[in-house]
Amino acid sequence: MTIEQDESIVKVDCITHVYPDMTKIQICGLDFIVNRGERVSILGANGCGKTTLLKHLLGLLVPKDGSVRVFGVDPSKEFVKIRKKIGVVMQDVDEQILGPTVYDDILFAPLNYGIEKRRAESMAKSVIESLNLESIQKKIVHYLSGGEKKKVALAGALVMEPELLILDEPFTGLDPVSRRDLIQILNVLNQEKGITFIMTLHEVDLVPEITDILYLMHGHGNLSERGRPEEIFGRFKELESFNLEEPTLTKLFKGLRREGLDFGDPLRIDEAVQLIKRHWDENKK
Amino acid sequence: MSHIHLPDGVLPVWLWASGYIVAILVGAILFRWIKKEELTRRFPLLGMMSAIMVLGAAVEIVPIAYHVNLTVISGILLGPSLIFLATLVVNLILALFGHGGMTVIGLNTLILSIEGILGYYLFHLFYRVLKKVAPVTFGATFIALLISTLAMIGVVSLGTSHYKELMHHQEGGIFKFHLSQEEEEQHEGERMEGEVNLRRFVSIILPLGFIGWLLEGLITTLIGRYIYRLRPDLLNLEKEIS
Amino acid sequence: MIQLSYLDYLAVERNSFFHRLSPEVKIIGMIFVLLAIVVLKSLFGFFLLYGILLTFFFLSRIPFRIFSLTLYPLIFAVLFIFISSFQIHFILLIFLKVLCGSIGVVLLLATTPYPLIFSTLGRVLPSPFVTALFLTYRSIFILLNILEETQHALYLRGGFQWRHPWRSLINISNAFGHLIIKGIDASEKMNESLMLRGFKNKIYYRGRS
Repeated sequence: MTIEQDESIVKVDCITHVYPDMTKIQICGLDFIVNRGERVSILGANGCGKTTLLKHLLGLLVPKDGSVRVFGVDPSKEFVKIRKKIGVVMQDVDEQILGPTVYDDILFAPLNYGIEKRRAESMAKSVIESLNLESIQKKIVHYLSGGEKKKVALAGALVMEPELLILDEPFTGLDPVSRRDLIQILNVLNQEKGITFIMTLHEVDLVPEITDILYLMHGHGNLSERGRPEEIFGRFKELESFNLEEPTLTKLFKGLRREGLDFGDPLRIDEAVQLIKRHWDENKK
Repeated sequence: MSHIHLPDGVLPVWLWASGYIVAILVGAILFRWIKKEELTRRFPLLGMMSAIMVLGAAVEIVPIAYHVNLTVISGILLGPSLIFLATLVVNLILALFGHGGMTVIGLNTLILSIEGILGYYLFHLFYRVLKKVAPVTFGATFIALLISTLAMIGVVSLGTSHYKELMHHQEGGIFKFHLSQEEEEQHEGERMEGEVNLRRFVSIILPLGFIGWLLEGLITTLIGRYIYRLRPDLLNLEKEIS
Repeated sequence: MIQLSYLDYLAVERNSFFHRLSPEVKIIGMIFVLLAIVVLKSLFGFFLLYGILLTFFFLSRIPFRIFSLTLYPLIFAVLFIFISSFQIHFILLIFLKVLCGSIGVVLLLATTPYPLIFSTLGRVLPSPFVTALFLTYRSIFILLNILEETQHALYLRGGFQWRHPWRSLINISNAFGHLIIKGIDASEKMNESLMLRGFKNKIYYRGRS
């Protein structure tokens, strides 16, 4: 879904960060802008600066130059003011899950924010129901599978009913079923609650499933493209220059075109099915 | 064996109770002394280094029950106040695994934290002079372990009268127990020579300890060298260089 | 090390009468065992206590391999017999005291999940200490995976061989160095996460700190 309200809640203007080993990441090129209700993905190869950008949004890093505004404040100085509005799912969820059991971990943030226990419990219950975590809520966290841990981390992030959800490579290491579940959960949250997403990805095939606005990042933080996935993938037939592969569907339909079967350039399975079906029906007539 | 984890039931009540009181007092003072923000920031590191020490104690290196302590390297990385709290946590968790007694957590903490605290200060002191990580780590570890073993011997020696009582207390107690008349006579005979022999205890502990100090010293040195190569910032040596 | 996670697994997954007992009852029971260790003076008393604890141990369906864990403190107890003139009474007394203590704690840990033990202790211990306990336990299981992988890699790549003791010692030390660096990296990530989730020096269990 796309809500073109044009109310930007995140704006990053050419920031520079230097790591202790002197690696310099300069997130420049285009301004990084996120509007309310959008599902924004940042696609780029490993080490191009995607996580650095997210850490700046969370106030975990202080930029050397440039500016970062999230909900109108500089997160490196005033993150406390906006932290209840932001949920985070980190790349390594193991270090994010801190409660002894699933239920405790989901209660972690509400109790730390001083929410009264009964209300905190009802918030936890509601998120447990919405993510179908009832069967594992009493489990000790180190006995969870990778997919379950991601869901628990997501539940811990959603319990405070954030307006913005930041996810760092949420699909890495997940099996196909868990991946599909997570995509579905995220899309429902976006549609029903209007939660804005910013996520980093390197799985090109997943982009069309979960993205309204796509940023391409390469080199050391070069934000070079912004647009809808179909626009970007349409414009860039060769993604190798970004150290990325084309989506599988793009490759397939390109191959079909070479064989004289031009169905267009679908990016999602359902679109592809419709296109092929239409052609099939037309040919039958 | 660089140290022993004192078990339950060996030391007199007054001794382990004093150990608890001193350890709790020191722990409470440190919790108050360390700034709240500093504690919040360093809690995960405290937990992680405590976990590393627990895992070190759980991995037996050679089949003589030898395991590494990692207290000195943890002390160097955590600093003198947090290492005390870490050893308190480690001793409680180890005691739950039957590794060291529950009643002697206080004493075990005091003894083990000597290694961490002394190791930290010796490491920095030696580094100021030698400027080489490997010999400095070895020296600091070896001396810290030697002192902690001496402290342990000191603690054990304080219980002399209690051991005497245990040796001579066959007929007292809540339940009377007689193995046989012959045995009782044998005990009577032993009682004559049944004196506490701390010298024998020390003569067993020190050579065993020496092997332990060497092994732990070597392993800590190699670990220190590895960390120095990969993450020198963790050793906080900038102030010694400048 | 394997026993460490196995004990935890037993506490969570097994279901005996002892598993179902409340943690408060078990901890109070453990305090009584410790009291007995301090107060009892006769061998008969200790044999009786050890017999009872052994019965409890096997009634709680704890596998026999865990029993070896209760014998571990004997290694340290052996050193104490050198204090005496090797009197059988003293040796038996010391061994039984040590065995009663160790079987008691292992019984407690193998039948009670750690959050229950820590949160029960939390009623008397200061909350920062209980938080440190929770974070340490969580960290143990984060690091266990790294340690196991490193151990396997050492083994599979010939990193530990009795024929090359010096090289093996270097490899083992490097493995610990690797574990420490990974642990510190993980603690930095944990710190970020704590900050983002509003951590105020407390970990809650069932809504209690």
